[in-house]
Amino acid sequence: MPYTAEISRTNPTCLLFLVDHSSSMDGPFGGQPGKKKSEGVADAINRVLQNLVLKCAKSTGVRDYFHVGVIGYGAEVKPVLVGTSSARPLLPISVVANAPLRVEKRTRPTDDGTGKVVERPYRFPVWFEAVANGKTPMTAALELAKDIVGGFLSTHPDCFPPLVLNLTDGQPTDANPLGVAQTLKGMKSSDGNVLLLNAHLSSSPAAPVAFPNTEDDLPDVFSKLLFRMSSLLPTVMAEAALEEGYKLAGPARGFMFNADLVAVTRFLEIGTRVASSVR
Amino acid sequence: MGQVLPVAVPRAFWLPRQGHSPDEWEDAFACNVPAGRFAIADGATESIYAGEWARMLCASFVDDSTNVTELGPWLGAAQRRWQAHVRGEPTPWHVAEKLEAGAFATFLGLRVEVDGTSDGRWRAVATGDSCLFQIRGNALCQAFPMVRAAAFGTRPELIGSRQRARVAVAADNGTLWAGDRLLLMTDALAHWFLAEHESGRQPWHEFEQLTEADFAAWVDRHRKDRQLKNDDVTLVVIELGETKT
Repeated sequence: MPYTAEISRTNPTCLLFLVDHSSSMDGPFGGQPGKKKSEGVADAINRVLQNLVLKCAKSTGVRDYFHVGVIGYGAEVKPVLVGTSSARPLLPISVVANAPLRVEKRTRPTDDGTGKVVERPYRFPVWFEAVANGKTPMTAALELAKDIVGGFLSTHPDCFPPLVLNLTDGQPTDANPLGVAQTLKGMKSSDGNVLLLNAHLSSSPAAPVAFPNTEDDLPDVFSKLLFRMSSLLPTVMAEAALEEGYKLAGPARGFMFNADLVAVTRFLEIGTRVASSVR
Repeated sequence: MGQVLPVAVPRAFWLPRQGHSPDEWEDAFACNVPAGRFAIADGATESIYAGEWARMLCASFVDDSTNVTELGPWLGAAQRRWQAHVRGEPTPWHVAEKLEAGAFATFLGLRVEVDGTSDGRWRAVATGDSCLFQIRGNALCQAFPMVRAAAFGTRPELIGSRQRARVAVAADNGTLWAGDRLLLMTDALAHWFLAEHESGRQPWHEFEQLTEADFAAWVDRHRKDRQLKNDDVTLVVIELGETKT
């Protein structure tokens, strides 16, 4: 059965985030006028990286269950995670863990154990800064992802299939990305095909469309394109989506349209749920 | 029914999950035969210093002398030991963050009360899916706290090393006869055990005359056949003395 390989230190998997850096990312989310999309996405990715590190952290060190990278696409298309480069686009999670740009102190409401909610400080490491500059060369980003994932698969042929999560607010400006997306999804390990998930960030207050099983209800050519580019959710992610309260009608695609900040965070949580099966 | 003799020396077997070294085994057990107290625990992999927490829970329980009908002073003692253990040097942000959350474990504590003149009795408390099975003659006489294989999930109840909120705990007890066997298991093995029993088999026979080498080979074979989840595995076998005439 595909998507059941154990993720371990001897058989790690790859997580690659593609992040739209185009100028329009400077605009606010549809339903949240005070929050720039670029900042919301940076926060969401930093949070998901933090969660991944915490999943892998033990007293003896951080276990390398994941190799992680972030590609930004806007004025340039390149690896943007601190410590990565074109020559080394992925880093083991232990290296990521110990080299954030900075660790901020933030607070969050927490149950104090007696039912009373208090603001508690917590550490918020930042690896990835907000950027909004240029066009939307999504096809070039997917081409780069294809090379990076291909390199990983050549050295990890039996891994849990690599995950590529693409976050964008606009239409591709370089070429039609469907072909390269299909090629990327056609690459595989012995445990199944590479998974490509797409989230479209909303500039309008319209309700998000989450994990659809048909493109019929999507409003335009662009949203239908992203739908077609997206993989079917494997069982582990479909179960995570159900747990998060999403209703799935039939085989769902790893796709969100008109996602607000809350939806993006949940999208990333579901898309990285494989982390719960680490060994 | 014959006279119940003192508890025989328990036999314990354990293995880390495949791909992990022995010092990464995060289950634990402890036995205090003179006091008739036994414990088994399974540290939650996602938490930090979880193996230490599981060991401290077990050690505190078997060193305690209070009744086994609910949580006892052993829990607070274990929490203080864990907190003292992790206090100290500055740590990287990810260790610090996880230390604040604390470590978590499932737990089962057992007390065997036998005086050699009448029926004995066992009493146990449990949080989560670490299990006790009582075998009498050739039958599974009692299972606690899990009674069905399907009830095992991925999120068992846990005891936290910094927990201040109420701990979900179950308690049970039963009679003991000479020749009874009590098996303590962490979840992977317990799940297999119940599934086998539900299929009409008598899985306790697998553990008779078991040696450490046999156990490693047995676990390896069952993992390969995917009958046993790749997880830390721990088994404690406690045999009540044979009937004397």
